[in-house]
Amino acid sequence: MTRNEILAALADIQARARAIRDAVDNPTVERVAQVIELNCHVARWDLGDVEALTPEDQSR
Amino acid sequence: MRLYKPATEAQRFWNPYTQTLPRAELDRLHLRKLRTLIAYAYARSPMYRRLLDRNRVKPEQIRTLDDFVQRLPFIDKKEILDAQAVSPPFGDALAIPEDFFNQRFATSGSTGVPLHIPLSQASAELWGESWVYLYWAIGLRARHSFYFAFNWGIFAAFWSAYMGVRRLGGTVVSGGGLDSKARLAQIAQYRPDAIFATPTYALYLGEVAREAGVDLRKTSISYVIVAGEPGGSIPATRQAIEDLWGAKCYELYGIAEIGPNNPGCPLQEGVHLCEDWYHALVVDEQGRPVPYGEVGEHIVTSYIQDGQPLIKYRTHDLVRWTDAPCGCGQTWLYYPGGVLGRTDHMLIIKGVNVYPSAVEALLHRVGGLTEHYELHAGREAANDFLTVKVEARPDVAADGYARLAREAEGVFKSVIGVTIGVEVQPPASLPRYELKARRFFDHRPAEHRWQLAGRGGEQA
Repeated sequence: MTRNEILAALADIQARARAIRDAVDNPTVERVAQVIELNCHVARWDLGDVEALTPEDQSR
Repeated sequence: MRLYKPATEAQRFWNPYTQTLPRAELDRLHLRKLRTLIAYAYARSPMYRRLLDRNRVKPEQIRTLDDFVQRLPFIDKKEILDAQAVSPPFGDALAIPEDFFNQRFATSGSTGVPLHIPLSQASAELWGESWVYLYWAIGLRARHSFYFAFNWGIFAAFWSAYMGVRRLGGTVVSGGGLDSKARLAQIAQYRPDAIFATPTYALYLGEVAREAGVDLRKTSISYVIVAGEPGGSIPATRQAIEDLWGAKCYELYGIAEIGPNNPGCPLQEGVHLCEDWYHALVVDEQGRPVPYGEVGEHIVTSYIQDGQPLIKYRTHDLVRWTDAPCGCGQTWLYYPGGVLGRTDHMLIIKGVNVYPSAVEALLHRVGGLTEHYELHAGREAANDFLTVKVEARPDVAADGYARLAREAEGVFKSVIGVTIGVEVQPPASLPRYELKARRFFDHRPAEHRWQLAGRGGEQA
């Protein structure tokens, strides 16, 4: 995968995790979705894709 | 099966993408990160909004790195403490609701009131992440195990190193709640690959081992990772630790309120700025950036501290920075020799700047002296002066102390160019420390203590 493809995949996973986080009321699933969202945010930052300081700032 | 694929394990760096980016691209990336951070801090931290308003600068006016350098004010520990005092413990320095807290730390308050440090989930992960750059570059992988000779208190200390091992996927072995002798027994039992310690404690364990009849060179430890005080980038101190443990010694330079900002270079002679998560300037007394290659005060901006943002934070640490290519292959800024001293510990002896780390490095050139020493600064006839008290090795007879002192004084004179008095003392006559050693004693009147400006701080 190219860097751009990886970044697109990460952004997609992050958006899906955010959607799960917003949709569920199961604490364990919501927490897992939070962690996924955070790690996607970190990976995007590590590859130079800087949009927001925190995942919360990006999604809200 | 391995946690990482073989091709990934073979990578030299944790983030090969940014750790080898050319300087111009790194700087472009920093500008985007800085603008993001400044907008975040201005929107969320009342303290930062006040600071920027007072300096008549809005986040959108920071369009270039030069704007960042010229227009944004420095911030010092005192301002964070004042903001925290408004409504303890965090006051209006805080930028997140407590729901997002993941862990909190405090400094010891040795220079006044303790500073409170909030970590969010993101900042806790990234404090850990900042250590992994070091682990990976020196060859530590998920299959390795890491021993923490550390008591897990409220001080940040090696907590972030622990977060780093979790992030890497390595094995944590806790030496919390044990005395040094019990830790040595645990090392023999669990056979960890790496140990974390301050340089002082790494050497102190050698004394305990000698008394217990344990040869540290025969333990499983292959890596001694030091932090918390200078030493890992001082060749003689590093060599003493390596000889004692029969292991390689690496360091990380961090600051309690900032995090693990500078992982050591795998070539061991200095540290790199972790440019994924930190921006730095090195400035002179007037706050102007010094050219690469020169020494000044280290000013750090963290992209990690979303709970309590720190932008252009004065560390009061003296470093020499360079953008010259490093032999390890990284393009991240490099600080040969690590931290050279504290701005408030710097001496000017007959016009010559003298750094405590330089004195420490030279002491080891004199056979017969040990790593147990104290520096006493005083002032006389309008000049700073320095006296070194140092213990002799047990195999040196007392009638040889004067000769050793003369030899050490000669080394200082020939290398630094000034006279530094040396008093050689018997073994075990100076205090021992388990964590950070107190080595610098300043007897100068306060008005003569040379500083770049402002007040002192505490290292992580």
